[in-house]
Amino acid sequence: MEFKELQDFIYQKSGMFFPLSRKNYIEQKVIKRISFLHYSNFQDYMNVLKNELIRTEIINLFNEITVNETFFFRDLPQLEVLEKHVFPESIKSGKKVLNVLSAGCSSGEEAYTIAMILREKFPQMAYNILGMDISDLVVAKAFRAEYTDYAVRFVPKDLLKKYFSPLDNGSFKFHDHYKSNVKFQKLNLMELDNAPFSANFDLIFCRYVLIYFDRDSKQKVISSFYGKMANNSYLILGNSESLFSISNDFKMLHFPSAIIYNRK
Amino acid sequence: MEKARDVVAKIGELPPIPAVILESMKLLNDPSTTVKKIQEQILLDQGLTAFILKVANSALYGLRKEVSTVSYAINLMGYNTARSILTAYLSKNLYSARGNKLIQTMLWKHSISTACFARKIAEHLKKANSEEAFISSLLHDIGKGVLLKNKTDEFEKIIELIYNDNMNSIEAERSILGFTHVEIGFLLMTNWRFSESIVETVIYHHNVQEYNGESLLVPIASLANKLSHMNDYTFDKRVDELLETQMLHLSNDDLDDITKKAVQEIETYLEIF
Repeated sequence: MEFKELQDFIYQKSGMFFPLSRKNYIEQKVIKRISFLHYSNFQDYMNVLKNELIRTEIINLFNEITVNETFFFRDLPQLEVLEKHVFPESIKSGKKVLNVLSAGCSSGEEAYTIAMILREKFPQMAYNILGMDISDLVVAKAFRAEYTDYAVRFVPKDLLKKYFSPLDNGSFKFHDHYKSNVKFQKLNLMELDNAPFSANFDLIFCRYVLIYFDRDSKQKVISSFYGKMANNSYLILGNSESLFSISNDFKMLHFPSAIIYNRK
Repeated sequence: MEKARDVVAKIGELPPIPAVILESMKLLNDPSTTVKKIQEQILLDQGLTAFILKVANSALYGLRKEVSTVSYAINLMGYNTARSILTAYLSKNLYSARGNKLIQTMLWKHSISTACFARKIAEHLKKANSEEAFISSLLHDIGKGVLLKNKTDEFEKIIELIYNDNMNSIEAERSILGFTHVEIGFLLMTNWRFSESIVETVIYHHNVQEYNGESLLVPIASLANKLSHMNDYTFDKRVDELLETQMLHLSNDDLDDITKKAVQEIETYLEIF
């Protein structure tokens, strides 16, 4: 398999750059697609992708390679900073509605987690949460809002009881009632500039998404974020990601357990 | 460096070198040691054992069969590389001792990437020992590990200052602490009785133009440090002028070649640890 060809193709179409060290990972995913489609070799498959012989195949490939295992209440220390600093500051500054973006939302765990925190701890604050992801498969999953017991393992007992109903197959469904202000949309982060949003965001989560991007693409995404953010808003990255050598537009705020970025 | 001694009082106790590492290093420095003896020593530390096996089973060696014993792993990599791996383990542990996960990760990424760049530069030059280059570059910022461990809050403020006020690490450390990771690194390396050439690398990695000695390891580490920053394994202000390329007679093509090879190795290391 010609890895470079695939690497370039994925990069051009999505901005995600997979270094040579991720070769095995990508190859496994591609082999899965090839055998699913009953092709006999890589070149045939590449031909399908490049010439869009099956128009949806590129989406299927992206779905395959961006599958991320995520869960509710991931990175509690970061969520604590939301509770103790970000939300109180937003209230203090007179914001009545909080617009939140979960960028690279996967199957919606992060978006619903934020909804629960806001409802429980800041009932006076209205909110709109938008989750977006390049993969239509996970976006559909987020709409459906059914989760394994593994995904909800860190949800506090009382919240699990209040916000979810157990299903016969052992999974948990997030109540429709609490989904009203949480929306999902399929969107490529590289095309964020052209996306119409009704308001600027007060808070953007983009955790463990940019790890797939190279520096140029990271810079592009972060500058799109900047353009779509309200005054005195916040950006939260994964706890191993930083804006060093990506952007100087933000102010870094460090708390004992997490680092977040503030847009003045 | 006289002042460095006054710094001891301010920084508090320096971390000791773990006994298993010290003993294993001694054994590895003696070519007549048997692999079995080294293995016995290494097996005393579970983390170290796992670390060595992970490296031996990584893409760096590309073996089809699984390496399941430390002795086989050491035979495979050789004593020199085994020393490098031990040093990598040592620094990773120091960097992970305390503080914010992000800062720990950034320190480790910067160290291991600088070490890989140094190894590739040395291999390219053919005049320098590539494992010594790896080890000395791996340790060039070790003082930052001590700062993070002993002065966690201050070090996190330093990182904030570098990003928010566009300072370099030396300026930020001076303004918050009054001393820098260079002095601490010097103290630690002397305290751990590491070789003169490693101590020199630590002292001169920010001011290679003041170095008058013969060792190639100093300009190699200094260049590797900058290449690491330029390739985003960084949390410091970027330095773009590469004085060392003249000292080491390296062309831009050479640098491209070195970078390509190093990045591959770095990504593999980052994947296993």
